[in-house]
Amino acid sequence: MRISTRTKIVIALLLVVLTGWNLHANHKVQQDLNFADRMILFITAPVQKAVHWSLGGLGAVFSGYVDLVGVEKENAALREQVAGWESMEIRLRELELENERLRRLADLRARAAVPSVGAEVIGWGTSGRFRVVRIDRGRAHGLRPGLGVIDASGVVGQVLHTSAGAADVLLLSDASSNLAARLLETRLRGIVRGDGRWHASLEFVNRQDATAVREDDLVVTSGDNAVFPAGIPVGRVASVEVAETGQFLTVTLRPASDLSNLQEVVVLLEPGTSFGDEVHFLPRTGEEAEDEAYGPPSPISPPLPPEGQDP
Amino acid sequence: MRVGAAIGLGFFLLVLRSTVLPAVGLSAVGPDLILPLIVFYGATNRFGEGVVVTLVLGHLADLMSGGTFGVHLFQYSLAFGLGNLIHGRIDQQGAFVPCLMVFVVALVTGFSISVLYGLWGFEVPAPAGGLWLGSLLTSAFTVPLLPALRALQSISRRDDKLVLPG
Repeated sequence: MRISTRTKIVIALLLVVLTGWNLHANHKVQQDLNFADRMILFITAPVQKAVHWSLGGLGAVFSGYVDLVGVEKENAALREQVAGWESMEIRLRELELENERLRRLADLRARAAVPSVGAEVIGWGTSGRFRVVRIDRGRAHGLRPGLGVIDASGVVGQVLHTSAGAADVLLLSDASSNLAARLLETRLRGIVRGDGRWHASLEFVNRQDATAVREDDLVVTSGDNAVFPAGIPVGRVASVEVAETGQFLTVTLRPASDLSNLQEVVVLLEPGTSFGDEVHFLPRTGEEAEDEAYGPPSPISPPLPPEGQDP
Repeated sequence: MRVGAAIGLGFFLLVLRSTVLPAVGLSAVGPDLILPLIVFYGATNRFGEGVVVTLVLGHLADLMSGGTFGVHLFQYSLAFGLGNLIHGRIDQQGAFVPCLMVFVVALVTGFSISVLYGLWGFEVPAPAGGLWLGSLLTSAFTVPLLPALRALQSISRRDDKLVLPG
């Protein structure tokens, strides 16, 4: 059956309008996946995982043997032996690094004092507009949308969608990412938002506090949003700008985690329990540890009341 | 058959996009490997098939991008419509013109999304390298895709007019 040009134009226009309306509707309400979509993810995630593993194997082979291209024939046997050792050494080094990462993650999980589950990044979002990674743990492992995700260096993001065996994690640097945080040293609070690339910004810091924010200051979670415990490193201040007008400073952050090179992460399973100022992620829980590590709070922080006296 | 092959090719490209491109550091810049396929369908005679492929791959891309649902569905619908407008109006022989078509469509659709988001008051920035770089890379990826698109076309009816170079 031939479709006339006019009909084609009408159908194409209708398609654009309907999908545009669909986009607008979906942007207003962020919902978890429906059953059919979860099934699609259930089917596609193992494929991604298999390709991810294959790439890892290929990478190891490539790095082990790339130097052997063009060797002379008489030295082939010897060089193969050397390559074998080199390959083993590379493998050992990779294992050592992996072991170190896992040890730090295990240590982090122990200090988090909340139930958590470890996961591996198996894929990245296919759009340049969003900063999302896919991990190999899902509903079957207790994950659900909204849970906090960290790695050995600090905050990574939040779970966005889940299927049975996989989940999407919205990274801290995504433009739609929001997180309550504070400067560790001065206790100034703000909202961390991603810039859609690999950085973030600390927003709603009053311009009169400009002297209290310095480059390289550590920003940690405040524990206010019941997703992350207080004290998890979010990033360090990269730059501070005081605009000519406006109430707030422009504070740019470098995320603590290397969001462009994530491998293993930890999902915090129970937000809302044990959260608050009692739980601190930094070594030796409590304010003393922070003071010991980073010096006493600045005069900007309100003075603590004497013991036994109500604030 | 051909629709199945196109969707299979699209899925394969999505998996490549989510695993291989990040491994070589091209994740953030955001070349879209599906767009050439959609533009190809728009620029050929297969309107009905194109609508089906656009809708299915748009939804799959939305699922695998992890971002706001509907962005890719809208972008690909627009790309398909634009490809349809181009159909029969310009000489599509050679590798340069298809690449240019894809570049223009990538730029226009990306810009349209930014404009729509602006009108609706939503905040989603362009890919890290900007629309231009993303569109250029998408266009560049059209070249290695041309043989696959040609193979797809070889499962075609005899009366299809467009012949891609190979």
